[in-house]
Amino acid sequence: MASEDDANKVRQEHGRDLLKMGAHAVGVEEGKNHGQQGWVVVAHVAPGAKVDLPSSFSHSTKGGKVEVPVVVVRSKPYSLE
Amino acid sequence: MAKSDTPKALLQALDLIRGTGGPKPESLDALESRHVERVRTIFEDPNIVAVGITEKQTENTKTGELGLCFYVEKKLAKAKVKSNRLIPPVLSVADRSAVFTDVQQIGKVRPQINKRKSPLRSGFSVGNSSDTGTLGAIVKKGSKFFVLSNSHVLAKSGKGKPGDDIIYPGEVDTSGKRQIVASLAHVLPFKAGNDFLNRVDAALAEVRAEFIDEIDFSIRGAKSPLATTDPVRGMKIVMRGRTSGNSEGVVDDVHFSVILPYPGIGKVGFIDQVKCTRYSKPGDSGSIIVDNKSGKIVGLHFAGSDDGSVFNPISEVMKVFKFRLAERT
Repeated sequence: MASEDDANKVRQEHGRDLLKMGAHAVGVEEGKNHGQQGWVVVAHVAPGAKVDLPSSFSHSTKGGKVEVPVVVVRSKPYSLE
Repeated sequence: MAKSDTPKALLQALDLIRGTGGPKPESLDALESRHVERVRTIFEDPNIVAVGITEKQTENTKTGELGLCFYVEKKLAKAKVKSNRLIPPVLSVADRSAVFTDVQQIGKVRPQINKRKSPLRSGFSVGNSSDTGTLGAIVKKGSKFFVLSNSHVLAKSGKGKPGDDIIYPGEVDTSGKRQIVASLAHVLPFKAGNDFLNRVDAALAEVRAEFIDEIDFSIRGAKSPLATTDPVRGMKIVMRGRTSGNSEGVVDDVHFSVILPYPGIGKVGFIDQVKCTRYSKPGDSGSIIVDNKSGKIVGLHFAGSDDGSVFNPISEVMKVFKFRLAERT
C-alpha cells in the first residue's frame, strides 16, 4: 500500500510521462476517494480523450518495491481565470 | 419562513418550472404532458429573469399568501404580452393541486462584480488594455508600491512591456474613461512547452504617485501584521475575487502538476502548485489566498476547472519578485 510520500515521488518521477500520454494535470490523493487503499496518483484526462495509461508505477523504498496505483479522472482541462 | 415550512405544492411547482425534480413529460398522460411542456416554455421568455416562492402582492401590498413568483425585468400590461408568453394565474402540479402565481418586477439581474475606482484594494477588478482579473495585493520593493496580480492579468502573459498601462477597474469593468493607476514593472517570462517547468504566474506594476494615498492595504481574511505561511493539505482557505466576491475552499494537493494553454504563448506547465476544492470563477485570477485559521497569506490564484481551483504558493512568488507585503504605517 503506497504512502503519500510514495505517491508524490512517483508523480515527480513519472508526471512528464503521464503528460506525454495525454494527461493535462497530475495529482496525488487518498485512494479511498477512488475505491483504492493507501495513496494514488491521479491523472486528469480531458473528457473524450483516448489515452492508454499504466494502472500503476513501481517505486523503490527501503522496505522494497511499492506499487502506486494510477487513477484516471475525466475532467475539463484547467484554464486561466 | 424556513424551506421546510413551504407548502409542498409550491415546491413541486418550482421543480416543475425549473425541471429539477418535477414530473418528466414522458411519464405523464398527453394532457398533463402538454401542460408541463407549456409551463416550462414560460421560462424561455427573456423578460423572466428568476423564479421563486414569495408572498403574493396586490397593488404593492403583501397579501400574506405564498405563491410561485415569476420575477421579470419589466412588468408589461397583459395586452402587450403574446398569448404564449402569458403567465397563467394558477398552475396545476403533480397531485393536481393548484398553486397561485405572481409576477414581480426586479429589473436586470447582473452578476455582482467587485469593481471600484478608489481606493486600490485587494479583491477588486484590475487589468491592462486587454485582460481583466483581480488585484491581489499592494506590495513594496524599496520605497515603491506595486500592484501584485498574475502575469496573464497585468503583463499579457510575459508579452507586455515595462511601462504598459494598468487600469483599475479592469477593461471589461470600465465604463467611460480608463483609470490608469500603475505601470507594468516586473514580469517573469514563462517557459513554454509540454513540461512542468514553471512555478509562478505573477507580475508587478508600479503604483502611480497620484494613487499612493488611495490605497487600502487590507486583504480579506489576512491578519495584521501581514505574514505568510506554506499551504498544507486540508487547510481551509479564503479569498476575495473580482467575480466570486468572498469565497472559500480546502487544499487538496500541494504538489499539483498542471498544463495550461496561454493565448499567444502555447502550453505552459506548472509544478508544485496548490490545488483546492473549487473556490473561483473566471475573473478571479490574481486573488490572494489566505489560510482561514492563521490569517496568513498562502498563495496567488491563477487557474481553475470544474474539478478545482489552483494557486501559486506565495513563497515562490516572493522568491521571484523579492517584495514585502505592504501595510499602512
